[in-house]
Amino acid sequence: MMAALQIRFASIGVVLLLAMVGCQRDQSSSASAQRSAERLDFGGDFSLTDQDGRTFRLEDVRGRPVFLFFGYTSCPDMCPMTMSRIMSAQDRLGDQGSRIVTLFVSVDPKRDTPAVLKEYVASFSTPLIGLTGSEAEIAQVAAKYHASFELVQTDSPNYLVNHTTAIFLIDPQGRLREYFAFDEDPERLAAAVRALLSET
Amino acid sequence: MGRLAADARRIVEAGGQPVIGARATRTWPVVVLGLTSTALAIGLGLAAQTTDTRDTQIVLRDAWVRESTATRTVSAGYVTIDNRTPRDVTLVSVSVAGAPRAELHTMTHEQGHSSMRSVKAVRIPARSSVELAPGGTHVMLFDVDPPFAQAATVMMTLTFDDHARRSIRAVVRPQSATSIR
Repeated sequence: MMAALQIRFASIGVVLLLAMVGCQRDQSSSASAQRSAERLDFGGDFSLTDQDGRTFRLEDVRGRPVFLFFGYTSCPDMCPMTMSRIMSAQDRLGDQGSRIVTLFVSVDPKRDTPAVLKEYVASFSTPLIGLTGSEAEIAQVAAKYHASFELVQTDSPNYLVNHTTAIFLIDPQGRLREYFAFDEDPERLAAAVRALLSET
Repeated sequence: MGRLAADARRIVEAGGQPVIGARATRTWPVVVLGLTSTALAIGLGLAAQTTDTRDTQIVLRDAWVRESTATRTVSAGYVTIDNRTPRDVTLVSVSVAGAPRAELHTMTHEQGHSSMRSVKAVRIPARSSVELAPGGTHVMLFDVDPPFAQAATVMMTLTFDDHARRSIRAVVRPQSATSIR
């Protein structure tokens, strides 16, 4: 049952952890390269189903930087806006941008079938991978990244989903390295990727 | 007085939270000569990107909606409202042709988590502008049928607490759009 899927990470520990991440970002006046030299102690590999119905494993894209975002295709405001920012960052990187893998993990697997995701990702000019799975699989991935989501207005077929809107940056070794606000300047996202690529 | 208008007035009077005045910016008073305004109204009509009303001088501009599809029937609408009058006005509802249900929503962002909630009304302070924009207060559009196709236009109508209505054609922008341009 979808309602049962509602997960909340309102525990003090997680809130503090995310607050700490935010503080690190806010307090740091150094370049992204310095921050990205540190890895965060959450995240990790996962396996889900892509828009073509094939199994996607994070380890399959080792060697490439990854942007990860949790959203849903019926989200007409935050999600497309955030994806556009990620794609703007990719555009700024030129050839380097083509090395980025952008993952859109649906927190609404009930509606977001591979077919729906396929149509959704095609609506963007820059390639991205749409991922879905069982409710349990999505919950596991979200938990790994300390992401949360909750269904609202569940009595309507057009229910909404409140969700984590952070943009996660995973390095070519599969390690979560940074965590950005949804409205981060695309130039800063691009700078973070440049920093990652300069390490290799 | 309609229910929404009554609710809005009560909320305004109570100074309650559900009235949103997001992204309000002060604008300089604008003097519009009657003849000039009339000529503009006749010449541009509803097809223009700006709708100017002489009597109240509430001006709508930069209206757009996000494209939808047969399977993705939810969209969002955006518009900038210039309140050139010397009094506050309150937006109480928005309708968009082709969307049977439209709601004013706003976003809150805390600790990397975003939540959406509906709001009853949006206040536009005197001589100020309010932008209904991505990531902030916007119009949620449900059950869009037929789908909003890129580059098409749809009529967007805003109703204020004094029952005044203003309409503007909103252009359908791509899924990836972040503004009207």
